[in-house]
Amino acid sequence: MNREQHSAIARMGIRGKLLLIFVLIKVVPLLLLSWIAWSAFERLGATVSDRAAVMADGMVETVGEFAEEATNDAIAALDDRSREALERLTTDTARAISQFLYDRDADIRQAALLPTTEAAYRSFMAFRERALFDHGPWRLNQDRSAWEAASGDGPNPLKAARADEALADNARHFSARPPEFFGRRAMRPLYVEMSFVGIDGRERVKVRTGDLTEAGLRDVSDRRNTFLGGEDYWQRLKQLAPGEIEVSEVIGEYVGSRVIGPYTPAAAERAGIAFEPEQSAYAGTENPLGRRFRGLVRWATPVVAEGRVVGYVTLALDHDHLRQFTDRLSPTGMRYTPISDATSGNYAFLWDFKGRAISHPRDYFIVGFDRASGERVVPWLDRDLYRQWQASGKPANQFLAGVEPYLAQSLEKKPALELVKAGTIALDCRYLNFSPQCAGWEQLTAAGGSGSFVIFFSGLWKLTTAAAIPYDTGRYGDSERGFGFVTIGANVDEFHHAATMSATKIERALEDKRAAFAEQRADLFDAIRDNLERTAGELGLSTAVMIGVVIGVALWMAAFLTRQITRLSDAIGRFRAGDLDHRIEVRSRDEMGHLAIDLNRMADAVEESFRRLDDARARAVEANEMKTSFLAKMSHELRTPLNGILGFAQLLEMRLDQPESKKFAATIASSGRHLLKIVSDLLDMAKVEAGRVELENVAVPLRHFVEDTCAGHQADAGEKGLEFQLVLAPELPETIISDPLRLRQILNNLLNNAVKFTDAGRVSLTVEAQGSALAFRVEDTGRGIPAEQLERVFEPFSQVEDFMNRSRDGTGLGLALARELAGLFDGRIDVASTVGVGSRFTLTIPFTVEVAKAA
Amino acid sequence: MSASAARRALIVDDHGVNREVAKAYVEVLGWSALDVNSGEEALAALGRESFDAMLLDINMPGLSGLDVLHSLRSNPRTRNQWVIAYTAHAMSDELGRLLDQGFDGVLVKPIELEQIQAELARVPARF
Repeated sequence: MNREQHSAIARMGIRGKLLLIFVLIKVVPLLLLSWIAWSAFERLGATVSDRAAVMADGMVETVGEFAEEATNDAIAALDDRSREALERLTTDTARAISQFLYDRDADIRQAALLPTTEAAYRSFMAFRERALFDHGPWRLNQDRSAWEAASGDGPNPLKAARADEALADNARHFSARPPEFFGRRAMRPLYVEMSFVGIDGRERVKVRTGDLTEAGLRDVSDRRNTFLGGEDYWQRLKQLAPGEIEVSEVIGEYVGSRVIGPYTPAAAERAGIAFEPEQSAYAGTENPLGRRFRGLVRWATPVVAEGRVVGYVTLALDHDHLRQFTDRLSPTGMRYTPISDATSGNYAFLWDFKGRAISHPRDYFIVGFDRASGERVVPWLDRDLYRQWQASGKPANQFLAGVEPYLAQSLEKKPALELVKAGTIALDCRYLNFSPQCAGWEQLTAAGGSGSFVIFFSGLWKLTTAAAIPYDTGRYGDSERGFGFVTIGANVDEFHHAATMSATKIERALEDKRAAFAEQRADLFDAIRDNLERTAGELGLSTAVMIGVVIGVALWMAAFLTRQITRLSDAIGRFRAGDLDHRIEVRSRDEMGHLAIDLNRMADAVEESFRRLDDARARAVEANEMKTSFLAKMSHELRTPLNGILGFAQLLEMRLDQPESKKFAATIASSGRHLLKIVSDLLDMAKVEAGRVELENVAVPLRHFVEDTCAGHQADAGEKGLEFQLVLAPELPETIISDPLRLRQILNNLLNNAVKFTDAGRVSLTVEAQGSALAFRVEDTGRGIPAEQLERVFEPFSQVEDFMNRSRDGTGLGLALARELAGLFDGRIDVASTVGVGSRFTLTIPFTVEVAKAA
Repeated sequence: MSASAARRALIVDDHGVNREVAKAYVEVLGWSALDVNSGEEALAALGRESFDAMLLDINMPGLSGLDVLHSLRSNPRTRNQWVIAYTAHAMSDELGRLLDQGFDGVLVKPIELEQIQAELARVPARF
């Protein structure tokens, strides 16, 4: 503890100190205990809460992990099963198409046997028809943001077998569906056209079932006269041996669209075109009013008569029948749909043996011909390829003939938006380089196989399958892939929907549990906190009460003690202030009471002392005044007769003529003067002793003063034949502050004695500075004073007759007075003497140098 | 010193011997003197004639020296009277006080010729 704190505590007073002590020994431990208790409670609360949280979290986490694992397993299992089912659906579809195509081979063979007459052909065509399904009318919904079916057509759930009617043995997983709904069924001829072409290439017979192809007999050896100017069968027909069959590629007019996705007013506006859905390509649910892709596949075979080829019969298959194999497929729980829905990602396509789209829910993706040029329109290219094509300046077909197919296909590549803008976005897998699934399908089906993979495309994880359509007639025999391939795309999430649902349920349950735990934990926490708060409150209250009591007791004790002490202190104060009669009232018998009694006794004693002291002082003052008065009176009374004695003695001496008488008169005068001197010295002595002499403080020019003082004595010494020496030390101050009269009085005394008591030799005065004092040393070569008498010389009227024949003018008071006066100067007179050698009296007085006055 | 006939002192003292001593000294010094033994007489004498100087005792029965001095100083006619205290009071503080109270000079008893001679020499000439 440092000094300041010490003094602060010292200043504190008893009340403060008591409070401090109480605080230190009582309040601080209380607070400490409270704090410890509080901390322990708090720690306990935190620990319990944390443990509970850890347990709850652990439990939830474990369950979550199990659930996740189970869900993942279920998803994997479901995905596997779905993939399996989807692949099977794909291969089944491919087989069905294959079968369908082979049936058409049978048709053409049969047709070759028919008479080449219109009637025969018409009757042949009449029985070649097949059901097509249509979705009926659709319209824009209320807010024109999507299309909706205008009719309520759909599967009739009432026609599903009732699970509750199942036999108990069959009840387990009894699954029943109503009749599958494909849409509105309508029978449509399989073929749009049947013709007989002569050996010269001219059509001889032509029967149509609709108006897709043109009426009238044409020379098909000129390609421009074929359907859309795009058919090349004539060149191939001439190669055919009897019995051999030519099957064409899919020929149809390209229907474009400048909107990909739902064709709505908003989409049309975005594309910057008028909303004319009928002018744009059909796209299932995305544009149910659109223009449909219409196409054909022509079968042809030589007609043999009499052992030679007389011409060729052709059958043009309506492409609608082909595409229906995939258009009605839905790789979902629905299984079939009257209208394909490309938006959901669940749909099936057909691709020809070269990888060109020949069936797609979005008709604008189907590769078709430009009626004007008789060539296929340019397919959708990626940005780079499009730029290369533009740069080449070649027609699309020529340019693409020199391009490597399936070139580094990747999702990284971007489609050429210029083609979207142009509305020509047919899909030719070979050049659809921003669609890597093309390469995948190619890879799976190149050798006639099938398979699947999953790809993230258009924002969806899709399982996509591919299965080659085994068909080897005509040109398709050159391709291991056969006619082409079926692909089915399915939204993976839908497969494991159940598992996902379960997972969601579990997740929700877990969430609930977690929330419940959290709530429980919060409750626990609240409970602990409430407890803590209550404890803290109680602890705080009790601590506060205890502190209050402690401080109260401290204050009371402090007040009690300080009141007593203050009372004593007040009493002492009053006593000291002069109320000497005041005594302390004794109220208790403890130490304070004893202290009061002791103080009272002391006060008694002090009062008595004061009284005595006052009396003594009064008496002393009185005595002193009496003495002074007496001396003054005595001096007056002695001087009055002395006036007469001295005066008349002097006058007498002046008047007498006779020398002897004159001497008598002089003696009387001299005796009077002696007496006067005695009286003066006595008076001086008395005044000094009575304290009535006050020294002056005036500037004394030291050298002049000393020389002046010595003058008379020098003369006296000379008269006695003595040598007088005055020695002034060189370091003496010029001027001192002193009382010159009294100082001279002392020096006169000493010099008088020296001259008086020296018969031969020398008297000297030496003045020196000794530090801050001046020493006046009077030396003589007189008789000297015996050592045992040295101090007595300062006594008044000392009888030192033996060594000092008192001269008639000595008063016996000179040295005594000199010593008294020296005392007034705060100085002293020392004496040293050797009998027969001489004496030395030294006056030493402190001196003050005159302060030089400011100029 | 002016002509002795012209200088005259008034000596006031209740003590006959001291009157005589003073008178003798004054006369030795060539002055004429009238001596009276009380303050009252001194005032009466001053009413009759004028004096170059006055030697005035302090301790006297009746009017003291101080009473006489005050009387003189309060009277315009006698305000400038040269008054020398003639006293046996020898305490130096008392002597200083005498001068302060209006005395023009002080002679302390016992007097000697040299002292009275010096003191009278200080008396200014009368007009």
